Parts: sequence; C-alpha cells; structure tokens
Amino acid sequence: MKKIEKISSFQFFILVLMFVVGSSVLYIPSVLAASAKEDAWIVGVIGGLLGVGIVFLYIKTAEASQGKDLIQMYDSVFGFIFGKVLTIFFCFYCLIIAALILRGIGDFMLTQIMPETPIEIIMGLFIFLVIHAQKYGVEVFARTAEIFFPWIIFLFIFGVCMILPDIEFVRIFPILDNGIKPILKGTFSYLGFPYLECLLLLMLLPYCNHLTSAKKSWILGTIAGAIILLITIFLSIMVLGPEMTARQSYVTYILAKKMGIPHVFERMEVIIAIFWILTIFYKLLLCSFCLTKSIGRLLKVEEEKILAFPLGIIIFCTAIISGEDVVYLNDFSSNIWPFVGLQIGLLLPLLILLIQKGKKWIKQKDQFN
Amino acid sequence: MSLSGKFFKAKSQPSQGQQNQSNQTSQNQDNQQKDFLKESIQTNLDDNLTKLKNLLGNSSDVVSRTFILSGKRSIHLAVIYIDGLADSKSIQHFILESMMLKCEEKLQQSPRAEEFSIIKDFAITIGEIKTVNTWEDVSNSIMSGDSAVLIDGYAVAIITGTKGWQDRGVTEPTSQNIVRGPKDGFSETLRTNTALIRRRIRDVNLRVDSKNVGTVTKTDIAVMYIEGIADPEIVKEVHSRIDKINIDAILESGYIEELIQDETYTPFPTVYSTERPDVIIANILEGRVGIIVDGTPFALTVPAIFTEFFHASEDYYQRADFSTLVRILRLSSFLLTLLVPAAYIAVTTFHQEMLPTRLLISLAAAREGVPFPAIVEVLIMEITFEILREAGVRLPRAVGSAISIVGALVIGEAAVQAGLVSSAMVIVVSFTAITSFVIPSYNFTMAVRMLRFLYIGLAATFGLYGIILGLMALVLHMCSLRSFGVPYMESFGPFNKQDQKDSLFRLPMKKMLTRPKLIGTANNVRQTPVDQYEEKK
Repeated sequence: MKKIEKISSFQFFILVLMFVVGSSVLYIPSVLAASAKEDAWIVGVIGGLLGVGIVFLYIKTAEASQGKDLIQMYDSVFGFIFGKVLTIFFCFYCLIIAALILRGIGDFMLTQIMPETPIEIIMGLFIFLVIHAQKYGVEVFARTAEIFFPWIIFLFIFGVCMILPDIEFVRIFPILDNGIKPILKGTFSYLGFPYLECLLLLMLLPYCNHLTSAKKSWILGTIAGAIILLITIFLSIMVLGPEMTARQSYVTYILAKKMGIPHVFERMEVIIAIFWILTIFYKLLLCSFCLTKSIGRLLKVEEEKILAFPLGIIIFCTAIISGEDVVYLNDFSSNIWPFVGLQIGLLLPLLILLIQKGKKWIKQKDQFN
Repeated sequence: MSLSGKFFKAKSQPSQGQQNQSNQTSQNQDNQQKDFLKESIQTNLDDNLTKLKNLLGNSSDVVSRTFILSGKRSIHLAVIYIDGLADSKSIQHFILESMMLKCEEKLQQSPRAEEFSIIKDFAITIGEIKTVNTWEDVSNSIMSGDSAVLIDGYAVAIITGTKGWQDRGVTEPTSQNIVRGPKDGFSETLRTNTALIRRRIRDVNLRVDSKNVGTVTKTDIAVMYIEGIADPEIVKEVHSRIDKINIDAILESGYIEELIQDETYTPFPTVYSTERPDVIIANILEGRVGIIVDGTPFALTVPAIFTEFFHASEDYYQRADFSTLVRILRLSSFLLTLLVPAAYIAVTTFHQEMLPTRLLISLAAAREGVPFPAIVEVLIMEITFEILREAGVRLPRAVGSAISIVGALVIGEAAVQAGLVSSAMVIVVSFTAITSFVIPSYNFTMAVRMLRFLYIGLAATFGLYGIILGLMALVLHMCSLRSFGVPYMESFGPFNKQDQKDSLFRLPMKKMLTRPKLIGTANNVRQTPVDQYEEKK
C-alpha cells in the first residue's frame, strides 16, 4: 500500500514563506527601484496587499473544488482535451520558473562568490540536491524546511540588525515625487514575480493534513514573506539610495557587504548568502516538485518520483540555454513574464472559480425547481 | 579464454561435488540431532544417561552425579549440571543433601505411587522448579546453568534453578561518567541488569518479556517496557523484529542494534545504547522500549531520536537553566566539530575577505612556510589525530603516557617547527578534537568523525557553497530517517511545541507535566502541577 504523505500547517506556512521570499529577495529591490525610485517601498506595500489578495483568490478556487490539485481542477472544469492543453501550459510555466531560479543562483554564485568555478558545476550541484530532496518526498523536505526555518529567521534578523547603523531616512524622500504611474508599473512586475507564482502552491495544498488551517497559514506565510521583502526594500533604499539600488543586479548582496562589526567580523556576505541559498533551494524544490507532479498527472505515472531525475536534467539544460543573454533575460522577466503570469496565474484561476460557482448555482437552481 | 574456461570448469566440478557431499553429511547430522532433541525422555535412567552423554559429548565441565535413595524400592537418580555455570553449593545443600538425608524416611512411610511427588515437592528445596520431558528442554536448561534431576522409572526430568556463575558485579560505568547521579552500571548478567531496573521501577506494569536469540549461542534477551505507557505498536514491532532474527550468535547488543535498526546505510545511530541503568529507566518511563542482552553491559532503547544523543542523565539531576545551557553547548559543539576544519579551508582558500585584515595577515604569516595547500594540511592533521585516538583507545594502560608524549610533542610542536603544518592548523584540529568529546553519546560521535572528512572535501572544492549544500543534504538525510516509526528529528522537524520542554531546552521539573508526545500518547501525564496542588490546600 502506498503511504499517503501529509504535511502540517506549520510546515506549509514555512514553505509558503520560503517560496515567496526565495530568489525574489535578491532581485526585487533593484527591479522596483528601477521603476519607482524612492517610492519602491510603496510598491512593496501595495504589491504585498494585492499579493495577499491573489492568494485569497487561489484559496477560494481551492475551496470551490474540494481538495483537488490544480491539474485535477483543469481537467474537471475545462474537460479532458482542453484540460490537458492547459496542463502542458502549466508544465512549461513551472519549467521556466524553475530554470530561471536555477540560472539565477548560478549567475549569482558565479559573479559574486566563486568566479573561477564553471556555472554548470554550481548549478549541477544545486539541481542534484533538489532531485535528491524530491526523491525523499514531500514529508521529508517539509521537515527539513522546519529545521532550517529558525536559521533563516535568525540570519534575517541578524542581517537587519547589522545593517541598521547605516540607514538614513532622508533617502526615501521625497514621497510620490514622480507621480503614481511608475508605482503602478512597479506593482505590475512585483505581482508577477513572487505572488502570481504562488499558483504552484495549489499543487501542494492537497498534502496538508488540516485544510482549513493550511489556508490560514498560506495567507500568513504570504504576509510574512511580503513583510520580509518590504523590509529588504526599505533597507536597500535607505542604505544605498534609489539610484545605487536600481543599478545593482544583486542589491541585497551589496547590502550584506556593508554589514559587520569592525575588527571582529567584516564582509559577512557569504554568511548572509546562506539565507538566499536556503530560500532559493526551497523555491526551486517546490517548482521542480510541481513540474514532476503535473507531468506525472499528464502521463498518468503512478510513481512520480522517478520523473524527478529526468525533469531535473531538463531544468538544468533549460537554465543553461535561457541565461545566455542577460539583457534579453532582464527584458523577458520584467516585460514579458508578468503577462504570462497574469494569464496563467490570475485569469485561469478566476475562470475556474467562476465556472465552478456557476455550476454550483445552476445545481442549486435545479434543486429548487 | 576457452582453454582457461575449460580448466576452471574441470577444476571446479569435483570440488563442488565434494562440497555438496560434505554439506549433505553435516546437514544429515544436524537433522539427526534436531530429531533427537524433539524426542522425549525414556523411563530407564541408564538409557537416558547414555543418550545425554552422546548429546553433550565428553565435555569435562558436564557433571553427572548418580545416587541411590532407598524407599520402598531403591530409587536410582542422577543430577546433571555444568560446573561453573551452576552454583555447586546450592546443588549440594538443596538437592543432594536434602534428598539423601531427609527424605528416605518419608519415602519409606508413603506408598510407592507418591515417591515422585515426594522427591519433587518435598525433597528439593529450591525455589525455581519445573518438569520437562523433551531432550531439547533438558539440554537448554543445563546449558543455561540449571541442573536436571533424572529419576529411574519416570520419563520426565525435574529442572531446578541453580544458576550461579562468577559475575563482574555492579560497578561504576566506564563509558559514561557523571558527577552527580547514581554510580551503578550494568554488568554482563541479564538478571542483574533487569533487577537493577526493576529495583527502581516498583510498578506492577513493568513488563520483562524474555526471548532467546542465536541458534548456537542461544542468548537471552529481555524486552522491558511499562504497559500502559509504551506504545503497544512499538512493542509489537520490537518483538517482531527480534523474532525475525535468525543468526548463529549474538555476542553483544550491537548485533541486535544492527539487526533491528530501520535504516542500515546511515552514519547515525537510530538505536540508543548505554550502560547506565538510570538512563534506561528514564527512557522506559518516557514510553520507550528497553532491550537488554545477556553478556554485555550495554542495553538498548528504541525509538531513538536525534536530540536524545545530546542528553545526559545529569541534565535532570542538576539545575534546569544550567542543563539548558549545556545542551546548547553540546549542540553547537556538534556543529563545530563537524564544520570547523571545513570552514577553515573554505575561509582560507575561497573567502579570505571574511576575515578581519589583521587576523588574515597573522594567518598568512603562520602559513608562510607551509609547502602544502590548506586541504592537504587539514587532511594530514585530521588523519593523524584519528590515528592517535584509535591508538589510544585500545592501548594497554602502561603505554598510555608514551602516546600522549608522542602526540603532543612530536606531532604537535615538531610538525609546526618543521614547517609541515601551520600553528593555526594545530589549533583547529585540537579544537575539533575537544568539541567532539562534548557529545555525550559515543556512537553518535563516530558519525561526526566520518562526516567531517566529507565536509573537508566539499569545502576544498566548493567553499562555503559546498558546505551549505552538504549541510542541506545532511539535514535531508536525517529528516528521512525513522526509528521504529518515529521521525528521527522529532520535536524539531516535525516541530512539536509540547516536546520543546525537553529537547534543546530542559524546563524546570515543575513545568515538565507530560511525557514526550512522540511515543505513547495514551497515558502521558507525568505529574499534576505542583503549584495547583498548593492552591488546593
């Protein structure tokens, strides 16, 4: 008999938090500062609120379809053929997110920490660990997330405390100097990057042992993640200023370089990098998990874990191909990717919710007649 | 190719045949013996004695004493026991003396039909007594130190409990020393050990289930638990895993540990072992199952979880705040002993910017004359240390001082002076060594000793990135482990708020109201809150 794997609400909370924070904490400040300048923190607030709203939509969608995961929703709402087509779209969505994350960690390690090591090795080691974690199953990697959670919180608080002496409040003024338009543009890309990707967590939700409290922890996890991102945005603007923030590709890393106690610890960035590596690991793991799961559903594979290795290789190769041109990649992730995200992450779930509500309504009407 | 193939075939065939033949004959012998053991005892004493002699051979330690009692008829009897295993004094006093001197009169007065019950119930003045009628039971009892009384004319043997051999006695445990707490340790005799436990748990629900494992050694094993506290599922699992063992010999509890553990390919122990009775008792009281093996002072408890290996029994005997501090110290020592050499390599070869400039300069100055890269330096010193430690463990006491001189002077100071290693490296290695001794459990330290080299390798190739990935892999592995169904990292992952009272922290006794949640949940109230009690008054 196959044992049903279950995770607790607390574990789900941690995974949500890691998923929201993972990799976006490294890029978001500069992306937002590029468009909204000093007002990037306003984007952080608005985007965070909207993000929670999006998660609320996902939760409603999940509630309407009673314990089904996303692929099953596609199948039941859109029918067999159209459901399969959407599943394939979703698989590509997962694959591209996973590949971008992997490329991100590879580029980061290569340019900032280990310039002499080939990127294939760095990424290969990382994806190998992800495959390894997937083989152990959801239960085990949720437990590891629980163990690493205190480390992550500690590293974050430690980092924030270390950087506090360097902040200058003047740097966030003037507020709303450039009008509302850049803020809206920033919010648009901010939604696309961490929040619309939360759609993937719909694949993980059925694993929770208490669905109602899991929904609560999903909201809480998103809020906690948004707060962490907001603090990071604040710090990078107040320490580096909007121009410096916009110009860096790894703002928080530059931030971390400024931390330290003189003559005792200096240049703590490698220690702080542990925070990113851990969160990015879980984000990549969840993406890869969703990819494996949905491909498994698509091909009707009973033991989905065997797909982890080949799909890991595919993610690895996609990451290598996708990152050849950094300028193109930046353009892609800020101008094209949010639209893809909107379609698959906002439009489709909304459609699923409406159709299911409609079906229910029709059913009720039939009963009354 | 073909020639050699033919050659081997030709050569191997007859030897195979021979082997088969010899196997067959030995199997036949085995089967014959097995059949014989199942047979029951005959009525004729002489026949019985010859058969027993055939069975036991000409062993010099088998004592067979025949004597005659004169009742209504002259009754031939024999007492068979093994010299050294059975207590010859009690045989002399309570079997031979009491039979020969006290019961002849009674035998003469009573009818012949009653003579067996007179011998069994009146004459033998020993507490433990039973009658058996197969050769298997007879031989097993004799081998475990009991003595068998055979009576002419009756097809049964009376087994009397006369076990009594030389024992080391209850002495102070050598592997786990403490300052405050009971100083007794287990010995090699199963009964002594179960008695040590029973003496402190005076509860009728303490169960001692006996088992016999090992086809040749027939080692006695006791499974101890408290009914109502221990999870019946786990008790059942322990029984079934031990029952599945089919091995010729169990010489130490390590055999059992390896044969019943959940995961074979892991450096971490998933069964807890100790020679301290108080630890076993505390574990049994928490709902764990104790396994005590005859012939070794090391007893086991299952399920074992990660934090358990960082607890010492002394934690509960001294102040709670200090115990918490010591536990945090132990856990950080675990991380340090695992990672310090690796971190040294990573920092000196990849991330020099992390160090303050002055420290970097002094480190560089110390490493100036060293011809090797940091990895070689670390490996030389770590391997040397492991060799020294291994040499020290099994050393005759008289040679001990020689090793410490060689270790400290020759390898430490001279190696630095000769420029083979830097002095910073010596500090790193000695620090690693000292921190590894902080972990209270010896078999957990072994895991760390092995894994340390893995991290040295990772650090030398990938720097801190490698160390972090290695740590993640390690935590993944540890989270995947289970010990008798209980997750190994229980109370950290899965996080369990209730069990935080006694994992990394040790709360004051007044706050420890329940047993750990991981095992039995049926009866987990430990104490009624003391403060509440006072209020009621």
